[in-house]
Amino acid sequence: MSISIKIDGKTYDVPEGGRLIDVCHDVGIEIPHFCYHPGLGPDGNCRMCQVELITGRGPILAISCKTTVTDGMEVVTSSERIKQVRASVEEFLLLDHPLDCPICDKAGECTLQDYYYEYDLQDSRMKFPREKKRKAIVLGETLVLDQERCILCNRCVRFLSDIAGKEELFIAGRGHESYLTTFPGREVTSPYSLNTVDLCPVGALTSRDFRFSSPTWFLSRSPSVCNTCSRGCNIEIDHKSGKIHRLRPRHNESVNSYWMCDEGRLNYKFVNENRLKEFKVTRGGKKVAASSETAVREILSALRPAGSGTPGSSSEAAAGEILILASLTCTIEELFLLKKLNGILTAANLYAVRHVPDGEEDNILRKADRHPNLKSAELLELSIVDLREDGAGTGMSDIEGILSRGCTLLCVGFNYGISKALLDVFSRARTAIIAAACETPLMDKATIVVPALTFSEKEGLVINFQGHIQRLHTALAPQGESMNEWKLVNNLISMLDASKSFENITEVRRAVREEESAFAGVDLNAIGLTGVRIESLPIG
Amino acid sequence: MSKKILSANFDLPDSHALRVYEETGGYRAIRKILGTPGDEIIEEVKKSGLRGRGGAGFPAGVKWGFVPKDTDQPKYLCVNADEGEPGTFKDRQIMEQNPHMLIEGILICSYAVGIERAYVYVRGEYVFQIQRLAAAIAEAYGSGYLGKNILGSDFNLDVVIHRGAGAYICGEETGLIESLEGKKGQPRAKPPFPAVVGAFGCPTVVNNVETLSSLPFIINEGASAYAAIGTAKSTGTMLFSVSGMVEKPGVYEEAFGVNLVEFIEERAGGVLGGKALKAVIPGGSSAPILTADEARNTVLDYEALAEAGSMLGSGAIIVLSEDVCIVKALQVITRFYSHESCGQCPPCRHGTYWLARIADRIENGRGEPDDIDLLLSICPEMMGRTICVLCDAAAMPTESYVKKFREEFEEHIRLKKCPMDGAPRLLGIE
Ligand SMILES: Cc1cc2nc3c(=O)[nH]c(=O)nc-3n(C[C@H](O)[C@H](O)[C@H](O)COP(=O)(O)O)c2cc1C
Ligand code: SF4
Ligand code: SF4
Ligand code: FES
Repeated sequence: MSISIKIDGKTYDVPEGGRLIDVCHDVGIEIPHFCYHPGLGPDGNCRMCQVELITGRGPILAISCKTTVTDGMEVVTSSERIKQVRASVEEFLLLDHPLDCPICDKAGECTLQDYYYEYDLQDSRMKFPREKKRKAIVLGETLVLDQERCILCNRCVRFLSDIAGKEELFIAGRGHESYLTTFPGREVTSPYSLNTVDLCPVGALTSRDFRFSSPTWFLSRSPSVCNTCSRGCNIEIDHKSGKIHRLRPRHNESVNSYWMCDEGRLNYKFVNENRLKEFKVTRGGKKVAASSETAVREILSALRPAGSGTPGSSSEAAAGEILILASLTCTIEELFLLKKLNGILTAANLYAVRHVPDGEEDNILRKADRHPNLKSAELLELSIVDLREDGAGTGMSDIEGILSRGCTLLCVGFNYGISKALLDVFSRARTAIIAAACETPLMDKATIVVPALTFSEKEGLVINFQGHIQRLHTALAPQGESMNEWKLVNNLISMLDASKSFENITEVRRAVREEESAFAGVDLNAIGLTGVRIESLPIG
Repeated sequence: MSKKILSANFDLPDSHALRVYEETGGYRAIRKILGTPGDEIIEEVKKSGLRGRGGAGFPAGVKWGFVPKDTDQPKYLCVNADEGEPGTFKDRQIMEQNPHMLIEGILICSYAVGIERAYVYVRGEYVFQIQRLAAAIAEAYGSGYLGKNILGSDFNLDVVIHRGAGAYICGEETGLIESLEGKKGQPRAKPPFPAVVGAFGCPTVVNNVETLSSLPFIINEGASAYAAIGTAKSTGTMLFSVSGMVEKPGVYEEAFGVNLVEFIEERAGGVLGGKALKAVIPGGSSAPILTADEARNTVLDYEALAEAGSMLGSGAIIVLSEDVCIVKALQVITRFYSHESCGQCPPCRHGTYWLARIADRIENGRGEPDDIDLLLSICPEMMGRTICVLCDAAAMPTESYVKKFREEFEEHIRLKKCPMDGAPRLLGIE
């Protein structure tokens, strides 16, 4: 039901039962706040979000984070009194604030700083030396605490107890001597600890990983999806000069709310390090740099042995089978094109590979399956082999036959999680072609190497364990000569059978919808920032 | 004039014993109401006009009426015996001299509201009073006044003592509840109010010791008899804790409506050593100060003191003679509030500390001329803006001390020292 409320003299129809602070936000009026967070609910301690409610007894102050809108409610958010309330809360908080903004990681995205400019802007009236508290306290593997900067908003405390499920921080002491701390002798161990850094309105909790890595205002931000597990938390990639500096969660209520796990958050180093930047072919038993044309030509001839007749003929099969392995980190488009390529090369066998070992799972976000796109392989009806270390190579028997007959191997997307089984498969291939973004132990065994992209450099779609289709966006420019995997496969297709190739990725997505029955109902070109749940999908 | 309801037994030998309480008509009231619908009792208490004696003066019956009737949850009573307001020492007297009167009050309230478990949250320092109360509770259990099927009825009630650990803020009703639940004692943002969501998430009545102790009289003599005492809106009597520069500090019961200064003179023997009266703090340290003239022109009741710009509060009357330095008094109370702020709300956490630092430097001869206006500008920024009223309780008196005794502050700043060095400290707080 909708109700009518008046804010600053304007009447709005708003849904019943909302929090005033959210309702104001929705109609475009920002109420400053420190302790409230939509993912944590109200606490009511910071007093910054006060507004005036017009009552029969005149205007009264109320905290908008704990006020539920009711029909006919009249709210004032911009009076002189409210301006004064905000300025004074800001002044109180700044009284003993260390003002070490120039060396603070939060500078540029600090609420205390932003609100000073917006609501306070007066000189300090405090004539005392500022209070000293402890600084740079290491709280565990991930966090550093500066007690002087802490404004005691309680967000981090509430996150750990209410969301992460374990109390690990608390505010000790009383009054002016209150301070945030861990329990005596303990550290913060939560696998979600770094969310407290995002939540902290100031630079009191900082990430040991990101600390001093870059002033925040130099970072560019691109939306993406975490590729660490099959949850696919929505993220923002913060990057500068082609390097990722941090990943942060992006709100998506149906996938990850406002949060992400530490493992996913820190799983970006592989993008910055050990990257493959050039094409390589083998000459005289040694790998040498080559042009993309040369490499692609050699791949083609490896897939289509010289002297064979029509590609895909039975004579060709006799000349040697082809094994195509696609990592389940590949996108829908890549998997679909590999399936097409596989269809053109009748002697080929395509398998989607589980290779990353299972990780921790909990009831918060983390899924044991560490592949971001297993669901797509199922929907595209690809054969899946399990080459995980802990899967004890249960899938080996499926490909044993092909391997023992001697084959050409084409691998796409194996950037980490290189299991022994995978290495074994590699060493048994006659020719091993790899398209990957990172230097891995597989490289030693490869005969042709195509430098490819990580999730942060490509456009593409993945489907999480819930059946939520989500979109990767290009955040970083490709490194060196790196080639997009879908383009590589599309090139190969076009050289084998030009009529089956695609003009662009939009065409690929259209074809997925037209040709794959599981995707019949979804417009893959219209997947927005928060994805689409395919309810009709058979979700196992 | 000095009507005795609460203190009637105080001077009897063994006044704390069950026998003495019974001999003087004790536990008559609970017998009288067993069988009467709770709502009727609530109505009766509303009619009596009884208001909370913990400080806020909220009508007791009205508060009970807020407790939801049709709930499956248990309901609780929290007896506020934290008595933290500086200058207040009357609940102590009740627990020490007549604990059964409190227990009977607890019974009446619990019966009326449908409560089967009451917690008495007692100030931790009250060791002797806790022993007295515990002994009385044991006696009451032994005689069938507490426990299952009280006096043969189907009314059950357990009373549990919870000892506080010395924080003023745990006297604030929701801070009390948090502390009772085993958490850090700090107030909750309201609403919801305890009557709806209180202890352990259940509807809870929080009442002061003295409020509850007034109930047996109301039941025995009737609401109208109680309402006939005092003034129209401030009914009944109150135990006033008188301290400071008086001849006879102590707890005195008085019907509302007497003149403040006459009361001090007649009951407490007047100002110590025959000195001139300088000021009176009429309702505990949180109450704005009254000059001697203002005190002379006001009577002791809720309305008159509000009109005089102060409040009745917990009924703690602190008398300041000409020997007392107001700046030092301010130094002492601001230090108290700064120390006792729970620290959740920025205006309180930083405001109380700021006031204390400024008061401190003025008293120590390091004040600057603009400090006075600084104090006056901080106070309104601390009022009406926080989770609980501890912040107001620091700002309101501060503002009144500075406004009413501005010349004393100016003198300190001008002389760069306290002109009354060695003046007695109020409240014994260092
Ligand atoms: C900071 C603070 C301290 C308080 N301390 C006490 C106290 O020690 N004893 C008390 O009865 N009420 C105290 N109160 C008042 C209680 O919050 C509450 O109003 C009272 O217990 C209700 O009981 P009553 O209605 O019977 O007065 C305090 C309030 C505040 C804000
Ligand atoms: S560390 Fe940050 S989030 Fe935690 S209480 Fe302090 S200011 Fe709030
Ligand atoms: S006003 Fe002061 S004592 Fe009360 S909740 Fe806020 S910080 Fe705590
Ligand atoms: S946001 Fe409402 S009190 Fe902090």
